[in-house]
Amino acid sequence: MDMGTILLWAIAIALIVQAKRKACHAIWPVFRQGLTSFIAILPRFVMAVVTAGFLGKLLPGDLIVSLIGGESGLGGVFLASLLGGFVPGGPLISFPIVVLLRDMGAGLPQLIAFLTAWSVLALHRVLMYESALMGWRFSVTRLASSLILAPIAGVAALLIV
Amino acid sequence: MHRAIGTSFWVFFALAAASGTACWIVLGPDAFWRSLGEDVALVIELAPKLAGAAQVAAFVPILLSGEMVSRMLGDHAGLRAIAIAAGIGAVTPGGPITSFPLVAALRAAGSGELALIAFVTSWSTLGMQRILMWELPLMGEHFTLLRILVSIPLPFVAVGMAMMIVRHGSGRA
Repeated sequence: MDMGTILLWAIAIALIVQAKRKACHAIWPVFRQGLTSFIAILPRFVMAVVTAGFLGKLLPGDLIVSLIGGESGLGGVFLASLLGGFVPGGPLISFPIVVLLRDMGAGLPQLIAFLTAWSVLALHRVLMYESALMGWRFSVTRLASSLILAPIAGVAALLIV
Repeated sequence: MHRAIGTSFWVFFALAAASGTACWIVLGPDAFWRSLGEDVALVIELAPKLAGAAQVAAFVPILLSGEMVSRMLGDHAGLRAIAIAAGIGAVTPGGPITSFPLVAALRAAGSGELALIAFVTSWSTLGMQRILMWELPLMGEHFTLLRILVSIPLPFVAVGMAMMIVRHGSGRA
C-alpha cells in the first residue's frame, strides 16, 4: 500500500471517529452510503480508465508534447487553459483526461492550468446549476472574474517547477 | 445517486468499446491487450483509494452542515468575510447539486457578492473533497501539493477582478 491510500484511509477513519464522538448520527448507514457511492462509481470509472488507455495508444503523443508538453512554456499554459474550460462533465470525466494527458507527456504547469480552467469555468455546471440558482448576472460576473485564474495558476507553477 | 449500471455507464461503455475497436484495428490485437493489461493494474491500484475517498466524502457532510457554514460566514464583512468565505469554500463538501443551493442560501442570508465569488472559486479550485477523492489518488502528492500552492491566491484574484468589473460596470451606468 502506498502513502496516498494510507493517507486517505487515515482521514476517513479520523472522520468516522469524530462522527462517532459527536454521536448525533448512526455510523453504519453513513459508512454504507460511502460504500454504495463507491460501488456506483466503480463501473463508470473502469470504463473511463479503459477509454483513456486506448486513447493514449491511439492519439499522437508527439503532438500532445509539442502543444502542452513540459517544454511548451507560456503558450502551452494558455492553450491548456483554453482546452480545460471546454471539458464537459464532472471529475469522472476530467480526471481520466488529465491522467491521459500526463501519461502522454503534458507538462505539470500545463496540467495545472487545464485542471484549474475546468474547475472554475465548468460551463456545464454554470448552465445546469449556477445560472439557475444564482442568476446570470452573478454567473457572468464570476466567470469574467475567473478567466485569468487558470493562466495565473499555470504561470505560477511554471515559475516554481 | 446514479445506479452503478445506468444510462451514463452505457455512455462510458460505448466510448470504451469505440476506442477499443479503433485500437484493435489501427494498432493490432497486441496493443489492445497491452492497453487492457495496464488498465487492470491501474484500477487495482486506484480502487482502494477511491473506496477510502468515498468514505471521506460520505462523512464530511455529516460533520459540516450548511447551517454551520452560514453561521461561520455570519456577519463578517470586507476582506475578513472574503478570507473566511474562501476558507469555508475549501472545506465545503459535495458537488454542484449541494454547493450551489448553499451559495443561494448564503446570498439570501445577506452575504455579499464578492464573498460568494470567493466561496465558489475556493470550492472549485481548493475543494478538499475533490482533492481527496480524485486528485490525490490519481495525480499523486507532488502534483496535488503544487496545484494547491498555486491555487491559494486564486479566490482573492477572482474577487479583485470582480471588484474591477463591478466598478467598471457601475461607472458606465
